[in-house]
Amino acid sequence: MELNLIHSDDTYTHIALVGKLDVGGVGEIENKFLGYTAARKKSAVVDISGVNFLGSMGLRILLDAAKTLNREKKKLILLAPQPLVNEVLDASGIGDVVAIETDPAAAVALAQA
Amino acid sequence: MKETDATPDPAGKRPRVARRPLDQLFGESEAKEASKRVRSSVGRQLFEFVLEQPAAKQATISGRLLIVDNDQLSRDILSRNLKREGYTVESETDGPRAIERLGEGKFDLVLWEVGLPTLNGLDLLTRIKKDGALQHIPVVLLSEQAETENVIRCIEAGAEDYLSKPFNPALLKARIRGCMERKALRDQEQRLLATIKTQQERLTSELNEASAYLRSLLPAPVTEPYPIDWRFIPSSELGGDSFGYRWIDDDHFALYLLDVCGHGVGAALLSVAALNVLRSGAMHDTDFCNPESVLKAMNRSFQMEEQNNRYFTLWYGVYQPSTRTMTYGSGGHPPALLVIPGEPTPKKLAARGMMIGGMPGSRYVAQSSEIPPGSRLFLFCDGAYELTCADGRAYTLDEFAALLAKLPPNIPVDLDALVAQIRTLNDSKPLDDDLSLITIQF
Repeated sequence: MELNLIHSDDTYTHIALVGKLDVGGVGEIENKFLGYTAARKKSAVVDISGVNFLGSMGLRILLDAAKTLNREKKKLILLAPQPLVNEVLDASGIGDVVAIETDPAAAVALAQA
Repeated sequence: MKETDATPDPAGKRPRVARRPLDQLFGESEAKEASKRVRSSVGRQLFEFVLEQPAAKQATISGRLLIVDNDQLSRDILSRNLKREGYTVESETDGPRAIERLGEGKFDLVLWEVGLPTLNGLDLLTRIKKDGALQHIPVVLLSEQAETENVIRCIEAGAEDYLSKPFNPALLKARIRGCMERKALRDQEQRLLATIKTQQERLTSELNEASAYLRSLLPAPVTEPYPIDWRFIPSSELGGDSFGYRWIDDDHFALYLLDVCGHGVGAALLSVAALNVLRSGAMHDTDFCNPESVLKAMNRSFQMEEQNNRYFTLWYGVYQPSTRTMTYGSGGHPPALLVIPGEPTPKKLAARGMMIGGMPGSRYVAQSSEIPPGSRLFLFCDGAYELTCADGRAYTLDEFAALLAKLPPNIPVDLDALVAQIRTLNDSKPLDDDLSLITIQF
């Protein structure tokens, strides 16, 4: 599991996840992910186009980050999920606390709003 | 009170610390000066304690040794030297008798004459290395200068060390000490391994007990009025899945399956807590005939911040025989699949709703579906279809639905065969997640 920083400034953070977001994958990036999202308390765009599997523990860290940011009136925006990952997101109901975007420019605009 | 003594506690129970190490290290006058500089009694005790450590390392290693040699002079020399070092020493002249003595289990090391007529060194080693009770006893060979070849064979066969006659006292002392230190380390390792084994056995036994308890909460398969069968295969000793079904009244049959995120003990504990609520129907202001009410109440009661940051997904349905309808709701759970006779694709009984515990005040909207006669409902967790195929491709829910649609319609579902097929689809690798699967024939 990889986590790459794309952009970071005073208004938002943009990171990309690549790999399998299962128990093992989460273990590899959890602290870094929460550091770039929940701990920074800035809206975050998380490009998940490179995530080919999203398990329950993966959902948990997305939910953790989204809830923390929501409390700070900030947003977690998931960018470009693959179809199977999108199915998992849809079934989980996590759409109530995260935004899902397919267009990078729209995702960044939402984070800066 | 003398200045150089440690201060005893009021009860006089604390051991007094002698100034001996200071004297040894610095000489009497320097020791007095050093001790004066460390003014507090606690500081002085600590100082003395630290100074005592090198001395402690030089302490004599005690142990019980058996000398086996038919040469009276050798036995006497060895015995005297080793007793002076603090060892308890006994001796024997006859090989078979010495083996019997070793079997008493009280010796830490044996010194054996390599060419002992009644049992030579090589035969001894062959014999004791096969004996579980003796194989841990280190063997030091006693040899004449001309017996080098024998000694080499014995070392290869597992002897710890050897000593040549005539004995050099300094070499004897060092080698026996080295052997005893290695023996002490091996014994310590064995004790640690035994402790780990005991703890592992206890843990396994407790996990098995917990697993049996979780299984005891699951309902038995039934044949009337609707045949229901299930399989539950946790990915570790304890799973985070659980499920159940029960009649709430004559016209409401509840069916549910929950899946706690992750698996193992933490997930199983939350799973049991939530399952017991659903089984007993004991929740304030909750209508167990109404999925929306149940999901909302479960979400209120099991917020993840209060559950060690764990949430669970839940599918909860209520079947009404009088109207042949299933009303159902979902807290982040995959849809159940309804295989209807004559229809090529199973119907997904999906409903929107956040996973249970995800957010306070989440809304859950129930759906309903007619259940035609002959329909077959499959309720399962995501572990049933989140598989990785041999080519690395992720298996999909739609593929799983197609698989279920192909099962022969007029005979009971062979769940063991279905589980075997799921394992094959996962490239016959161990399943990453718990697998729960319930089927009901309407």
